[in-house]
Amino acid sequence: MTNVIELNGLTKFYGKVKGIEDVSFEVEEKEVFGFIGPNGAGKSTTIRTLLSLIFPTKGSATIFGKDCIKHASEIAMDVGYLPSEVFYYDGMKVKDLLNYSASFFKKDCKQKIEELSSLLDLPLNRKIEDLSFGNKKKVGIVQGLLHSPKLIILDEPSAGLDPLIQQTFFNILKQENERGATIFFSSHILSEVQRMCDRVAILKEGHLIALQKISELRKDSYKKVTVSGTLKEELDLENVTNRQSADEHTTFLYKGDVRKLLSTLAKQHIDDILIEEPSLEEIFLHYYQ
Amino acid sequence: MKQIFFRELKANFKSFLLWTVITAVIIVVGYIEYSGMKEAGETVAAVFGMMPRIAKIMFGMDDRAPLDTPLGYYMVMYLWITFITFAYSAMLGADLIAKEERDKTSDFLYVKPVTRTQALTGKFLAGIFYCTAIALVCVIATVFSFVPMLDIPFTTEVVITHIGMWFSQLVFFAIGFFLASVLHFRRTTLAAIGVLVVMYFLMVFIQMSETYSLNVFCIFQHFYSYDVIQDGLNPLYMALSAVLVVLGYFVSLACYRKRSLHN
Repeated sequence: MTNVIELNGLTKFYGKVKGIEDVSFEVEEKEVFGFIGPNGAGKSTTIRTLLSLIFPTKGSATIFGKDCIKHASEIAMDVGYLPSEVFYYDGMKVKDLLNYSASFFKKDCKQKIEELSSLLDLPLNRKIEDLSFGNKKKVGIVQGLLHSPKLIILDEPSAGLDPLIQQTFFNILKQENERGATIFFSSHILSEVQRMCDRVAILKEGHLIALQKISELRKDSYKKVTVSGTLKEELDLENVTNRQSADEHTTFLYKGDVRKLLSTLAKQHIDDILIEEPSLEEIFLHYYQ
Repeated sequence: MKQIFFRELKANFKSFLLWTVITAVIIVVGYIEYSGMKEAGETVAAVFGMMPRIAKIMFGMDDRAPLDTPLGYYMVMYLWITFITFAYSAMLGADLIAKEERDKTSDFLYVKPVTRTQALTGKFLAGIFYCTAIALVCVIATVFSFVPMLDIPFTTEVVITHIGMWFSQLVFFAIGFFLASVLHFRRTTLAAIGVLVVMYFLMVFIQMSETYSLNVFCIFQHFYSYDVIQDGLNPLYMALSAVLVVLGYFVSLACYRKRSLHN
């Protein structure tokens, strides 16, 4: 499998303020790759560097095997980008903006514009300035996908979309992926990453702290344990995190041998126990502790 | 590049129209006033003649051409028309680049398969187009409003001085363009107008102190109307203007290619 995106020690400082530091990972062809982290973790900095809007302080990145700074315009021919906040030329009509966007690509995008606009119920004859935030986001989706890109980069894509349109949008992405497009999906909404992605990179304060398959991330022997009864403050267990107690219920995340967990809990005064798969949100919180 | 050129023509048309209409109205109304000035004759000329020298220079008056003569009146009007067109050109140059970051559309434009060189070239050419267009409107408005009032042929003088204005306009445009390529977008228009104002006061200083050796540094002095009408366009300043415009373009490209675009 060839890599569509490769980051090699990518670092960006804004003066003395760190944006990202020494970030390295690869995104494979046709993969749906999640890129998660809270606001300020460096997700947009990474994306903006990949798109050559800003320049790295150190390190490098390639897209389709080409340096993303030196060959930016060449790479852009096959990249579709949807920014987190969409801003377009207010005085333009939607169809004029989409035609303007299409004019940069050496292909006929008419049919795709019509197809996507009708799927998303986008009013083509209205002026951009008269559109709601959600409709502007739809314009962003269409302008990002109208040239059938090989790589789709999405930065917090679902913000502002109502649940029905979100569903349509995710279906469109699925189709694009089946067509062969690689999707780089940045978000802090984990459920959508969980739903869409094959692998995920987790970013914390500008550093890459985990790179795993979604399935592994869930399987990585993390268990969410809920116990009813009285538990000692100090359990004779390692790798217990996110411990929270309310009334006689205690929940925590546990990573390790389940037999040891059970034998330790068996010595406590417990009435009931529930061991389940943690949600990605809970795993994610664990990374941020 | 082609689509950016046409997009900029469309995007800047309303502002061009506004500036052009205002400038044309000032020209027509200003020159209609000339008939009143001519009738009042020497009285008005004498009143203006009593003004302090610095005020005369600031208003574009020159003792070599009294205000009640066609040349004297034309020189005053010409200074103010050049001031307007220089302001338009400098602000247009600055705005063409700065607006993409200001309106946060840089995330749209500069992720398209277009190099920054191509994008800026399209914008630069659109700017030159409008600078030229407003200069042409000034010539036409002057020729049709002022020249018919005169007993002497004056069209050549109008055309030749406006060619000088056009050269200087392009220099101001290139300065605005360059400033926008290096400065934060919020500061570009102010900086461009700042350069214009500094140049204007340098002109006043040069004429007041008669230090004409400084002419080369002052865009207002490159094609001073009286000199252009007497001696024609100075080829040295035409060459200097062309060099400054070309330099402004290439330096802007070099700076903008390295610029981080923030949203």
